[in-house]
Amino acid sequence: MSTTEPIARRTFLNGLAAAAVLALLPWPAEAASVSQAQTLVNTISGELTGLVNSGGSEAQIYRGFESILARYADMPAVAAATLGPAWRGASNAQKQAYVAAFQSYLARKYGRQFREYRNASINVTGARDAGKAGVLVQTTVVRPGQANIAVDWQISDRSGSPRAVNLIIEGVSMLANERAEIGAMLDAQGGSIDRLTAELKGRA
Amino acid sequence: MRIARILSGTLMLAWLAGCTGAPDPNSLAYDPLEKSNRVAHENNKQIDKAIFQPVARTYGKIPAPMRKGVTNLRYNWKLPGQTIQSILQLRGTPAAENATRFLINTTFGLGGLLDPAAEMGLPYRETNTDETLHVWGVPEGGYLELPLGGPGTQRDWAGWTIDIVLDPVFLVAPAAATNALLGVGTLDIVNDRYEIDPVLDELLYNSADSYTAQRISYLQNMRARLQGGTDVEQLEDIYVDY
Repeated sequence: MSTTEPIARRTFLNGLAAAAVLALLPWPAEAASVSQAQTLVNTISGELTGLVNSGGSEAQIYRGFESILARYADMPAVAAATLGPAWRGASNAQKQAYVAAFQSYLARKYGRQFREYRNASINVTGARDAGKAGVLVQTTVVRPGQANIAVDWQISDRSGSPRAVNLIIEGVSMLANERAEIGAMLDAQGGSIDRLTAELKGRA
Repeated sequence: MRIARILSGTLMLAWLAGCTGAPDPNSLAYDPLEKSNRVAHENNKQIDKAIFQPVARTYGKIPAPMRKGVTNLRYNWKLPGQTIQSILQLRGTPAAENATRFLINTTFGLGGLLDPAAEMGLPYRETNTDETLHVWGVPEGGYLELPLGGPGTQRDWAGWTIDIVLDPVFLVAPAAATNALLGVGTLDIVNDRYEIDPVLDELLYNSADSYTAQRISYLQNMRARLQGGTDVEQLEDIYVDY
C-alpha cells in the first residue's frame, strides 16, 4: 500500500493538473459539442426533408417521423419533462408505456405539421452554446412561395450522446406547449397516468 | 416610534411576500384576465369554426400570386407608419430601409402590387406600435383575448389601436383610396387566417386545452419576435427532474 501511494498521488495530481488545464480551456470542449449538435441537426434535417418528399402515405410518413424521433431525440427525458412531478410517482412499467404512447402521439401531431413542409429545405444558420441546457442550433425552413419559418433545435448530450430534446418553432417551444397539453389531459383523467396513456393512444 | 417601526417592517414583509407570491409577468403562468379571456375564447372558436375558417379556406383557393398581390398592397401602405415606428424606436437602418422599400414598391412595384424591393435585398420586416412600446420598456401586461379579435396582450392591443387611429396614410389619403385599402386589408386578414390554418386548426380544435395552447403559443411567439429570436438564457435544462 505504502509503495503505491506516491504513484497514486502523482497520478491524482497529474489528473488534477489536466482537469485544471481543461477548465482553463473551455472553448475547444464547447466547440466540439456545438459542432456535434450542428452535425446532428443536419442529419435529422436531411432525413426529414427526404421523408416529407418521399411521396409516402400519411401512415408511412407518421411511422418515418416516429422512427426519426426514436433515433435522434431523447424521448424518455422529453416525455418525463412533459409529465412533470407525476413522472416520479410512476412505476417503471407505467413510465415505459407512457413514453411509447407519448412518442407516437408526438409523431402524429407534428408529422401532420411537417407534411406541410413539402418541397421545403432546412438550412442551418447558426449554433449557440446554452450551458446546462445544451446547444441551440438555429435553422430556417425555406418553403417556395411562402414565408420562411425559424426552427431552433435544442440539443443535449446529457444522455451520453447528442440528442434533440426540444424544438422551438418561431419562438414557440414544443416542450412548453406539450407540458401544458399533457397537464390538461392528466387533470381531465383525474391524475391517472394509465388513463392518460390510454388517452394519448386514442388521439388522432 | 417602536410601533411605527414594527408596523413598517411588517408592511415591508407583507409587500415582499406579495411580490414573491405573484407570478412573474414575463412567465407563461401570468394570466390575470383568464376568466373573461376564456369566455371570449369559446365564442371566438365558435365564430371561427362557423365563419372565419371556412371563408379563409375558400379564399385560399384563389391562386397564390393573386393573394400575394393583395398582401403586397397591404404591406406597402403600412410602410409610412412603420417608417415612423422605426424612427420612434431609434432604429435608423430599418427606418431608411422601410422608406426606401416604400419608394421602390410604390413606383416600380405599381403602387405596391409587386414587391421588387424584396428582390433587391430589402424584404418586408413588420414593425408596429407594439414593438415601439416594447422598445420603450412598456411591460406587456396581461394576456387579453378580445371578442372577434383573438389573442394579444394589453400592450399589443393598445399598440394596435394606436396603429389604426394614427395611421399616417389614413390621415392624408383621399377617402376613395382609404376605402380601397380597407378592402385590401380585410382580404389580407382572411389570407393570414388561411396561411396559419394548419397550425391554428391544430391549436384550436385538437388541443386538450385550446385556450392555454393558443395563449402560450402566442406569448412565446410574440416575445421571440420582439427579442429577435430564441433567448438562449431562457432555455430550460430538461434533465433537472429526470
